[in-house]
Order: sequence, then structure tokens, then C-alpha cells
Amino acid sequence: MGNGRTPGEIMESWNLVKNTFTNRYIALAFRLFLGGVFIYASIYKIAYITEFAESIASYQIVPYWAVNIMAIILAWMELICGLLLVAGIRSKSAVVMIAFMLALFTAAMSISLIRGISMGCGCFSGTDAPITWKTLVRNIAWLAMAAHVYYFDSLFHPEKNIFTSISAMSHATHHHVPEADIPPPMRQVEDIKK
Amino acid sequence: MVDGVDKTDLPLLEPRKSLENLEKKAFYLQTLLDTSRELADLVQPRQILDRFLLMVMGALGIVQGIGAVINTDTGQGLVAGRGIPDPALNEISNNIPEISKKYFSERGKPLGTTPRVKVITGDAITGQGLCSAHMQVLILSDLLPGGFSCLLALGERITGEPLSEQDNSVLLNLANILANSLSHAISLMNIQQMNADLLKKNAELEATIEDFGQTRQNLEKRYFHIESLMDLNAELRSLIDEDELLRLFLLASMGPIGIEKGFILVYDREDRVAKSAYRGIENGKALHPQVCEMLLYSAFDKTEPKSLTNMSFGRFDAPGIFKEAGIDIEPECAFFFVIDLSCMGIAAFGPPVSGNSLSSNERSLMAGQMAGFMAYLEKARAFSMIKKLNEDLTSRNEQLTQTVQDLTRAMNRITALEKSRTHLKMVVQKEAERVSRASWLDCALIFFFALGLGLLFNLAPQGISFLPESVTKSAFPSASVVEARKLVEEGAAVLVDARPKELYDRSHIKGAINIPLSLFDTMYPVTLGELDLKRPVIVYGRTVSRLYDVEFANRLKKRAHEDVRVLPGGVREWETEGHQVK
Repeated sequence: MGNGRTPGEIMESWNLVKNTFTNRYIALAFRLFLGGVFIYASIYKIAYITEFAESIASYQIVPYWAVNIMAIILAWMELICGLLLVAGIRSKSAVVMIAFMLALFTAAMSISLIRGISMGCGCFSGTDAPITWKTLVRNIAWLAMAAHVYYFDSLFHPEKNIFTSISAMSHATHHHVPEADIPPPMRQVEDIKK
Repeated sequence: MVDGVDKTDLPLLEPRKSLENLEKKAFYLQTLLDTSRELADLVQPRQILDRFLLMVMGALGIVQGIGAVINTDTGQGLVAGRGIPDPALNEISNNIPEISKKYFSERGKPLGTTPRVKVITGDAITGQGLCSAHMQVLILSDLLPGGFSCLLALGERITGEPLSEQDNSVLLNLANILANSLSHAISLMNIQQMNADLLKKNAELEATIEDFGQTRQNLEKRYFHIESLMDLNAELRSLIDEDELLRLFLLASMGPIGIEKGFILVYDREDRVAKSAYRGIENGKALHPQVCEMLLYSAFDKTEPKSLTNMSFGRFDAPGIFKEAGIDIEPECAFFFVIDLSCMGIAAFGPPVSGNSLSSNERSLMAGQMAGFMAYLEKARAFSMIKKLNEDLTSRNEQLTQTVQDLTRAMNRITALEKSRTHLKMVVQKEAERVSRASWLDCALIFFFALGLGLLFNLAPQGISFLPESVTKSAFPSASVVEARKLVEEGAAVLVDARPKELYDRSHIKGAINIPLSLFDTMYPVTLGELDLKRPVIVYGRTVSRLYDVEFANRLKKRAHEDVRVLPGGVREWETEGHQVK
């Protein structure tokens, strides 16, 4: 108020911010980025699954009997979710799962940081730098990206487009045939059936 | 006859006169006798009249006389005269009806067969006006047979004397004789007439009998023809097969008349189908449609009157056309018939076996048979058509039923497809809606897909076991802290920290050597490689996520170390027991 901006200008600025924040292309960029990150991360984990299992174990959160299975599942989930996100197929579900994994990782990191365990995060390779608060913030930023993607992503969803096209096609082809266009024998049959 | 002469007068007359009288009587008697004799042989009334007039007039000396025999029923009669000129006689002849009316009609006709004779003389006949001549005697006789009456008029005597009583008496007797003679003559004449009539009737009767015989013969023939026509009709009535109809028609129409050769052709111009039948003709064959059309055209050309009306037929005479068509028949009687404009035909019959020509009756019989045959042929064709239509109808009905079934099936399919489409559409819409939001199902799918792929990929050599070895392998003997400390301090056992280096660096039991499990294969040779296999090795180090000690012990066991023990409490318990950690 002090600098003399009218409510209209404020509103305009707010709308600009809002529009920028909710921009679909930004959401698309986030989606592709997140997808790429997860694909990239998963490839190493899948290739060196033992190291990834060790990384999980290093967090000392997961019970020992579940570490290997979790490693196997998480690595492939990252790959599948990353691919789905990039391809725009079931991207909502994929981004939810990615967010879930990010939240999981963030929580694990937080616990490790609180415990003061110095260890590599195991995010991209077994030789990652030890976890720091920066790593935690990065994860939170990715989580925010995931939320943005969840709410504002609407571009390049081939699966959705296909379903919409089929539905539209079905609407277009299904039209009532006027009685006059039915050939006489058919009409007789209709009468007989009546 | 002599009763009229009065015998009592004879003694009163003078002898001469008596003699004269006697002579006169004798004369009269002789006259009566002669007259009777003369008239007895005569049979013709005219002759009787002529002779009687002659006899009477001669005997009585009369100069004029007229006689007439009249049929009072018809007013006709005959007239004879003596001493009367012909014009007068002709006049009397012409006036017979009036004379009959005048003298006989008023008297009636009493019953009886005996002739009635009446003699009128003198003034009684004055004014009668029979003729121009003056008559003094009028003799009337009626009741003759056959309705005849006789009239006799006599004139005056040559002497001019009037007739005496005796004369009148004689005259009466003579009139009776005349009446009887006429009666006989008329009866005879009637008998003769009746005889002649009888003869005539007899002749007529014979002629009639002869005609009757002829008529009967004709009737019998007709009856036979009609019977054969009825038989033909009865046989043809039940036939519906055209070929059989043609064959039977020839058989039934030729038999009664005795015809040797017969041929019939029925040609359908629309379908160009010819049906023919032969009888008594050798090498009868099916005719080509072109030949049939030529035959029909020739026949129609010769038929009089020409007609193409439905169900009509006409006779034709066209010698030679059948020979040209290759049919060995020279017809005595041939018909061209039209069932309708699309169906025509020819029927030809050769001469009878007897060699005679066909009579008009036989021809009319054949025409009748022809008409009957045409009716049955039309019926057979109609039946064929109905049958064909029925078959067509049945076929079409089947087709229609099939079509209805097909259409019903198609409609059911369409309905099913519509339902599927609706269902698919709903699924698609649902999916379209679902892809635009997160769903538990997708998440579960991703999870299980990841699990499946991971497990599958993990089957590769670089894969890891699903469960750690510490879970799957058997447990190792554990060492207590006290035992472990003692062994370590005595130097009897080697204490190994199997945790990663970071954890080891953070805190470890004093005297323990760090061989991280992940570096076992690398570090073992340089650390424990030289160690006596019987020397106890105590391994410690585990977290919630890893049982390093157990896994390490497993590997040592694989390297043939005989005494491997695990310190489950690890650093924490060691420290709790108050021992030194580093």
C-alpha cells in the first residue's frame, strides 16, 4: 500500500503469478524432469541392485528380511513410474507413486540426518556424497514438483487422448437411423417382431 | 216292291184295262227289277245316278232329270243330268252348297243308318227353283253313309200326263232302290277309300318304321359317341400331367371312331416348350420349337374362321404340312386350337381304318372331344401353374423365413454389438476419466508390475536373493560377551567386525578387525587367509537392516573355518557390559 499499488494492480499481479504458477507447460517440464530423474536413477539401481540394497540397509530403517525385496521393487517402480510419467500414461498415478517414494526417501533421509548417520543417499549410485540437508531440500523440491505435476499437468497425455478420441468416435458413429431409411423387408421384420 | 199295286181293283176294271194295268204293273215290276239289277253292279255314285235316271226316265217317259249326290258336311257333291243342257248342270254344280243347305240342313240329322227317302210331287215342288227346267217330281234321300244325301228331280213326261199313284208308288220304290244302291256304293267307296287310306298309312308306317330304324341307328351311334365322350371326359378329368393328357386324349378320341393315326402338339410360346403325342405313327419324335412354330403358323393360316380367342379352336385342311414337318400323317380331320395367346396347339387325325370318310356326326364328336380336351388341358396347365406358383411361394416363403431368421440373427447381433459398444463406451469413458486421476488400481498395478519385472530380472546372475542369507541359513553358535572377551584377550580367537567401515569407524570393540561384509572376498585373503582353520573366529556387527555377523559367519563356514561364533549383542552389549570400545 505504501508504494501506491492499487488493488487492481495487485490483483493483476496475483493473477500473473497464479497463471505462471499453474502453467501447464511448467507442469509438463516438471513431469519430464521428474520422469527423467527417476529413469536415470533406476537404471543404476537395477544394474547394481546389490549396492542399492546396501544403501537401503545403510539407512537402518527397513527390517533385514525386507531389504532385498524392497530394493528390487523400488528400483523397478522408479523405472516404471519414470517411464509412465515421461510417456504421459497414467501420469497421475505415476506421479502419486513418485511422490510417495520421494516422501519415503525424504523421511528416511531426515531420520538418518537426525540420527547423525553419515552415509551416501544411494539416490543415483552407491558412491553418492553423504546425505546433507541440501539433499533433503532437493528431495522436498522434487516433491513439490510432483505435487505441481499432479494438479496442473494436462499436456501430452496420449492415453487420455486415445480414450477421448474413441469416445468421441463412438458418439459420432452412433446415430439413429430414420425409419424411412430402413429397407422394407427390415421394416416387415420389425412389424413381425412387434 | 209290288206292294204298291192295288190287287183289289182288278175285278173292278175292264179286262183290257186290267190287262193293261197288269202289263203296266209287270212293266213297272220289270223296271224295278231291271233297275235293281242294273244298279247292283255299279259302284260309282255318278254311274248309279246316270243309270238310275236312264232307267226311271225311260220307264216313266220323262224327258228331263237331274241327280245329285251331296256331302252335307262339306257342301260338296256331284251332279248328273239327262235332258238338261250343260250350262244348267254347271249352274247346279256350282250351287250345290246352297242346294245342300236348302234341302238337307233344316231337317237335322236323326240317328240311324237306314236311308230316308221322300218323294215330293206336284205343286209341292213349285217354287223350289232347283233349276230353270220345270220339274214335277223331287226325290230326297238322306242319311246315306258318310253324311251323303241324294237329290233327284224329274221333269214332265213326254206325254204330258201327270204321274199316277202307281207311278208315284213305283217312283218311291225306285228311289229306295237308288238310296240303297247309293248307300252301298258310298259304303263301298268309303271302304275303298279306307282301304286306300290304310294302304297309304301302311306305306307311311313302313316308311316311318324305316326312318325310325335309321334314327335309332343314328341315336345308338350318337349314344356310343356321347358315351365315349363321357368316358374320355371321365378319364381326362383326373389327369393333371400334360403328357399323359395328350396321350390319353389321342387314345380315347381315336378309339371310338376307329382312326388309325393321330398326332397332337401343344406349344408354349413363352417358354418355347413343345409337348406332343403320337399314336399309330412310327418314329414320332419331340419337335423343335422352330418346327412347332412353322406348323402352328401354317395351321392358323388355313383355319377358317381365323381366331386367336382364348379357348377357341377351328378346323383346318392343309394337306402336306405334316409331311413337311416330318410327321407321317395325312389328316382326315385337323384342329388348330388356342388355349391362350401363349399356348396353342394342333390335333390331327388320319382317316378311319375302315377307309370311309368321317361322317358329320363323327366330326362333331371329335369337335366335342376337342372342346373337352381343351378344358382339361387348360385345367392341367392351370394346375401346373398353381403348382409352380405354390412351389415358388413355398420357396419364397422359405427364403423369407430364412431372411427373417437372418435378419433376426443380425438384429440380435446388432443388439449384442450395441450392448458391447455401450459397455465398451462406458469402459472407455471410465478409463478416460480414470487416466485423468490417480487410482489405487493403477498404483497396485504399477506395484505388482514392478514386483514381477524385478523378480524376473533378478533371476539373472547378478541378481540378489529375495531374502538375506541370514534368514535362510542355519544359525551359528553364539558367544557371550564374557566368553568372547576371554577368548580375545587370551588370543585364542579372532574378533571380526563385519559392518561397513563407516559404522566401524563410529565405534567398535577394541581389538576387532574390520572386514566389511561387502569386501569379504577382497579382504579375506590378506586378513584371515593365513589363519588356522581350527582357530575360533568371533564375528559381530548387525543393524536392524543387516545381520552382517551371520552372513560373515556363513562365508567363513564356506572357507572351511571350523569354529565360527557370533556375538549377537555386538558393540552395544559389549559396551553395556563395561568393556572397552573404541
